Amino acid sequence: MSGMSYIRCLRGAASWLALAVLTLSLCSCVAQNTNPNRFRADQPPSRPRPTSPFAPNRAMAPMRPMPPRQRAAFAPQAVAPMRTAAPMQRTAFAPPTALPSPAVARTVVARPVVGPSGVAQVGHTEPLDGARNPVALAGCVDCGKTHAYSQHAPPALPSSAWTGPAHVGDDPWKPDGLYGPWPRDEYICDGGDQPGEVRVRSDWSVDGLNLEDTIAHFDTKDGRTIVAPSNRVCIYAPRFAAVRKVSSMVQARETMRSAGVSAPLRLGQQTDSVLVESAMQQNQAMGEIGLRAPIAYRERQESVLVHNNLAAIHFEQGFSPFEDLQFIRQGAFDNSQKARLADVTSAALAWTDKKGVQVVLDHTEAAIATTDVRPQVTFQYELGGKPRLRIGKIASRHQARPGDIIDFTLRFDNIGTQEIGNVTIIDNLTTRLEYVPDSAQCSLGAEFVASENEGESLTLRWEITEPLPIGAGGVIRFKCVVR
Amino acid sequence: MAPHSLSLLLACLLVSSAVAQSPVHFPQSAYLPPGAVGSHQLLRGGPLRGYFQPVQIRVPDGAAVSLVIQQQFTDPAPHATTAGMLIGQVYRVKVMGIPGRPGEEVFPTIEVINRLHPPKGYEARFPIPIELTTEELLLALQGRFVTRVIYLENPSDAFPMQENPKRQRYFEVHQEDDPLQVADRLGRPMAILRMGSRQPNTRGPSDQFVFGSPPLLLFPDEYSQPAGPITPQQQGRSVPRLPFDGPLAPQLATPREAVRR
Repeated sequence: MSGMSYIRCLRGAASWLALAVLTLSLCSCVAQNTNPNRFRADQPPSRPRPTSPFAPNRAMAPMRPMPPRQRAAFAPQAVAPMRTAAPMQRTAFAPPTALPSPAVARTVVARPVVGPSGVAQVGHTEPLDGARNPVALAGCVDCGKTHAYSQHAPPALPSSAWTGPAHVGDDPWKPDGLYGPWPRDEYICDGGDQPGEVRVRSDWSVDGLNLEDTIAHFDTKDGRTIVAPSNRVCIYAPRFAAVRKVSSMVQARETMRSAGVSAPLRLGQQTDSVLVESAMQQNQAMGEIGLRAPIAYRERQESVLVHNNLAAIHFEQGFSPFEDLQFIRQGAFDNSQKARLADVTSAALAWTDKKGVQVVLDHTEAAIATTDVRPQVTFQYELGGKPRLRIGKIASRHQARPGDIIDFTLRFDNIGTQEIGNVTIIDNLTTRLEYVPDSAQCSLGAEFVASENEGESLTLRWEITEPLPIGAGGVIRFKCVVR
Repeated sequence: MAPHSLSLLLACLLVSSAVAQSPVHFPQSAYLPPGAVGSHQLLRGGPLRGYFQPVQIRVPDGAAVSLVIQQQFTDPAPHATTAGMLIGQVYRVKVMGIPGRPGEEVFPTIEVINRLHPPKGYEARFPIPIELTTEELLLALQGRFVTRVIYLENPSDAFPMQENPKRQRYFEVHQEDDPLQVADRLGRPMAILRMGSRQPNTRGPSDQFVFGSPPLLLFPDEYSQPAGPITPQQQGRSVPRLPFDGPLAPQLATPREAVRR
């Protein structure tokens, strides 16, 4: 009887222990999800930034007037002239009011509204060739919606190459001519913000920055730090390797060897032990040895974080042929350049994807006046004093083989209704892209930093020194070699 | 209630450990007869049947390679040749002029088991590279059997080094490993090269030896250059289109002047 009670007691204790473990694990999960600092510090700031009233931790500092501009205001109609990047002096902006939370910077991620009410899906039409590919409607087994699909294969593939229905809606970018699943292992992509949103800490260190990510973050006058991802650019660049095996008719060869050697040894020498006949007395110290001061001093210095600070040498005034677009030159969409812009973005529909940049900030939907799925979309927002940064990315070519050089161009514009500062653009290159040294250019004064990332490539970081007025923008260029 | 929660916790732990150690079954093997892997790929469906996948065959300096069209070997092409090959078919290749072994020839086979999806018009610019090194050719002449599985590298697990366009990177596997399975773990297997010391009959290559001489497409020599920047000749010239409307008849191929061995 006592044994049974002992077993019951053990069962009860084990059950309570299991419940406690489950409760602790749930609590730890909740704590990890709610802790804003749970992300690993992937990208520490390139240097300790000077404390700016732009940051929330200076909310209690007295208000200071705006410093005089060091240069003419950036005109949106033209790119700033060739200039050498000056040593960066972070903007000292006085916040208009004291901030409620001076310790932690509030990060707002600019993301499109996903779902039926999202602005990205309004008026979406799939570019199907009606003459050669009759369009039919059918219900989708996966999502239950009605999709339009081509009854015939696209002209670039045989009839058996039909890879599935062309989903109409919020599908991400696909290669031209391929419907349904497309081979992602034949493409290298760069841009956007992959799952695991990028967040910026109060010290401007960045968390959640994955490979291929391209984002910009900036500070507002009310102390917020907003993250804006760029569009995604995909380049066709397959790379091959091989696995080799050499075999023969004789698969295994075994060589026998002797198991051991028996060689008895005999005594070769005899040693006699001799008793000690004398002893030596230990002598006392006869004098004092003086202490001498060290003649050399070795300084011990704590390890510090070292970054490769590189300044942009110059900025070329002219534009490359693939950059000759109104979007790059003036930051404005031109209706007549739809096709060319869609061609160089390579990810035209990504502008309306989750990673697009022209969608609502701060979890507030914007009223849409006109819309389209093209990258030349014109949205009309009732911002109400909201800060906003648009960043777009294009590549010079759609396909590349190992050894080819690709020119990337980033265009960023302040399309909000207030001035923003501490604008930082970060591009985390994927493993297959190798940055060409000294190829980074920026039309605005910026400090350029390149540091290694986890993909054994580089993370490129431009810190714009001056605040960005309303309507102003800039262009960033750099080159990469396809590995 | 409490014993149930304990058993539930233990069950979750067991399931998670089982998922972490779930074995992968590979139905295909590089030891299957030539053509078996590609045929199984065709049975799986998809845009594979009837597609001529460009393949670039490279040989060492001084050597030459020739393909088979209608049971006859074509003119030997020095350095490299590019041809479109059907998936699931086996193509016999002749390599001659091996450095240090004049007069001797090796007859490897190539089996394409998957395809690429390049942008329209760039099919010939992105062939599957198959490199025959001098070392492997000499091993084949010594009676060894060389199996090389060419796979497409996954960009997310890419090797962080600059690629040498004239030298294909490869991994040597142990005797107990299957190169096809190793390649499947590293990426997407695209082609299998098998090379031994088998020679044709003295009366010429038989139909069985050349696997029925399946149809192929020959590309101009300018597309047989190793990977690199676009040449000025290719920059302003349209790339020949592949016939995507279905399987090609053998007579549609435009062989060079065929020579009887």
